[in-house]
Amino acid sequence: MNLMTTPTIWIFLPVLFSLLLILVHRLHKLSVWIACTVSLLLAVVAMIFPQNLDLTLFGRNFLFDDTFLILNRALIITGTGLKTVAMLYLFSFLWNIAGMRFSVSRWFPTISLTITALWVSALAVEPFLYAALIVELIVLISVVLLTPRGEQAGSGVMRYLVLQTIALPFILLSGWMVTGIESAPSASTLILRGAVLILIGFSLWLAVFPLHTWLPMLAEKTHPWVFSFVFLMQQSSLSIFLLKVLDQFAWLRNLTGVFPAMQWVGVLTVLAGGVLASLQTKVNRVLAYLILIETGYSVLAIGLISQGGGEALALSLLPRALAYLQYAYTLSSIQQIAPEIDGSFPSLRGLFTRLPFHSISLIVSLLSLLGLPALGLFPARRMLWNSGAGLTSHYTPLLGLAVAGMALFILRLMDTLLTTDPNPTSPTLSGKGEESIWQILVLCFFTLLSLLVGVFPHVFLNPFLGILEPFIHLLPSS
Amino acid sequence: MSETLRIASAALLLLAAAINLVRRQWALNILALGLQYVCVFLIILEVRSPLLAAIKLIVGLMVTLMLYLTLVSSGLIESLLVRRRLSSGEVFRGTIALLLVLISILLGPVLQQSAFPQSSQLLLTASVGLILFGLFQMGTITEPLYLVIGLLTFLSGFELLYASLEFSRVLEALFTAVNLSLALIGCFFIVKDVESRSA
Repeated sequence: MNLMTTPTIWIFLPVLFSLLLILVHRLHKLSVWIACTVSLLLAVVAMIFPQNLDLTLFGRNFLFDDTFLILNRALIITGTGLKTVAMLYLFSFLWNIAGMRFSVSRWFPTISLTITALWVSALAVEPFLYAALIVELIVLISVVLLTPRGEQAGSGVMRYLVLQTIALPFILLSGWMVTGIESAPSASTLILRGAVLILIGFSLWLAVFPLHTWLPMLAEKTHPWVFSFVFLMQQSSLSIFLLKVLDQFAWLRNLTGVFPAMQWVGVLTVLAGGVLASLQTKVNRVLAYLILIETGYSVLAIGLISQGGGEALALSLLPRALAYLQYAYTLSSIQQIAPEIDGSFPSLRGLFTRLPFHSISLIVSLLSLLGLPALGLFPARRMLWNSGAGLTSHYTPLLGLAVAGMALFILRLMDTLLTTDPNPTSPTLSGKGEESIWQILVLCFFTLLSLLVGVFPHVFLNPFLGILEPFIHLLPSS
Repeated sequence: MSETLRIASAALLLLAAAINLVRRQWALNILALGLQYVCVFLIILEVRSPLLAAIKLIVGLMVTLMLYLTLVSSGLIESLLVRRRLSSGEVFRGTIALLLVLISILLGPVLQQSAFPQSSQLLLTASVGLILFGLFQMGTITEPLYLVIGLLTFLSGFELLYASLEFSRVLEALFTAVNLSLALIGCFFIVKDVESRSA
C-alpha cells in the first residue's frame, strides 16, 4: 500500500489527529491549539504544494501519488484540487482559533477537524456515489455539536437528520442507475431518471427552498458559532461537489433544462430567504436565512456556469466565510457578554449604547452578505446579478425583491439597536464600557478585512479562482 | 432457502415494522426492531452469501442491543408483559400500517417491471415496505427512540434494495458505520431526553 499520497496527508492524518484529540478533549485549550495548528499547517501545505506533486525538501525529492486505493475504490486529490482542500482547512482553522473564547462544546476541535477531513474525502472519493454515505456520516457527527448542551434534541436537529438521511438513497440510486450510461447515450429515460435523482438528492442536502424548514428551527436552538461552521462547510463543499458531478457526467450537463432548473431553484431560494428574513425578529434565526440566501446564490451561480457563474461562485467563497465568521462571532460575543440577550429584537433594543462595536460589526457583516459595494461579497454579487439580468428579465425583479427583503431586515435591526426603550424593564442597558480592547480590535479587524476584500478583490479573491481548475469539462477555459 | 420461508420472513418483517409504527411500548419496539433485522438477513440471503448477509444481521443486532441497554439504563423501560389498551392513535396508525403494506405489495411488481428488473418481487415488496414505514415513522413522530427506529427502518429498506443492485465491500463498510453511528446518535438523543425530563 502506497502511503506517499495526497489523501494520506489531507484525509488520514487529520483523522488520526482527531482520534488523538478525543484523548485530550477535556483539556480544551490544548485540543483547540492542536486543531488550529493541524488545520493551519494542512491549509498552508495544500496552498504551497507543487501542482505536479513532486516535492523537494532538504535536497531530497518526494514524489506523491494523487490516488489512494481502498478495496478497488479510490480517494483522489489532484494537484489542482488542493486549493479546495486548503480553503476547507483554512475555514476549520478560523473557526477554531476565533472560537476559543466561546463556551461551545468541548468536542468542537475534534469534530471540526473530523468534519473537515470527511468533507475532503467526500470530494475525493471515486465513484462519487460513495460520497453520499460519507456525507451521512458527517451529518451524524454534526448532530452531536448541533444539539444544545443540557437540553433535549429539538425538532430542528431531528428534521435535519431525517431530511439529510432521505437524500442518501437518491444519490446512491442515481449513481447505480447511471453506471455505464456514457456507453448507452440513447438511454434517455435512464438519463432523465438519474438526473432527477441527483438533483433531488442535492436539493435535500443543500436545503433549498422549500426544503429548508429545519434551518431556522436549528439556528434558533444551536450556538451560532457551531451552526455557522457546520453549514459553511456543508454549503462550500456541496457547491464544489455539484460542480464535480456536472464536470464528470456529460449526460447530466448536456441534458436540456438542467441549468435553467438550477437557475430557477437558486433565484427562488434567494427570494424565499430574503422575504422570510425581512419578517424575522430574532438575529439567531436570521443566520439560517443568510445560509439559505447564500445557498440560493451558489445554486444560481452553478446554473449560470456558462455565463460566468463559476467565477462568481469561486469569488464568493472567502468573503462569504468571512461574513459568516463576523456575524457568528459578533452574535456569540454579545451572548457571552450579556447572557440575558436571547437574540430577539426586544432584548437587543438600545444595544448600540452598550456594545457599540458589536452593533456596528453585526450590521457590517449583514451589509457584506447583502452585497453592498466596497464590501467583500460585492464583486461576486455584481457578476451574478449582471449574468442573471443578461440572460432573462425574469430574475431581476425576484432578486431585487430578495435584496429589498434583506435590506429591510437590516434597517429594522439598525432601528432596534439605535433606539433606546423609553421605559426600560432591564436595568442592565446602560453604557458601561463592557467591550474589552481585545474584543474591539477583533471586531475592527473583521470589518477592515471585509473592506479590504471588497476594495482589492484581485489581491484577495483571484487565488480562489484556482478552485475551478479541476473542472476542465464544465469550464474549458479555466 | 425455500420460497415459503422467504415469504414468511417478508410477512414477519412487515409485521415487525408495523408494530414499531403502531405500538408505543419500548420493550416491544426493541424486540420488533431485532426481529426486523433477522428477517432482513433471511431475505437478503437471496442476493448475498450467508457470510456477507450475516454482517447486516450482526450490525442490526448490535444496534438493537445498544438502544436496549440505553433504555434499560434510563430506567424508564416497561416490562414486555405490561398490557395496555389500544389508544385511538394506535388504531389510526394501525390502519395506516395496513395501507402501507397494501401499497408495498402493489408497488413490488410495478417497480420490478419499470426500474429494478434484477430484483425479485418479494425483495422489492419488503424493501419498499420498510422504506414507507420508516418514512411514515420519521414524518409523524419526534420522540427520539421512534425517530431513530424510523431512520433505521428506512435505511434497512434501502440497504435491502441496494443489496440486490450492487455489491461493494467499501459500501458495506460505510453502511455499517452509518448504522452504528445512527444507533449512537439514538442513544445520545435518548439520554438527553431522559436527562431533560428528570431535570
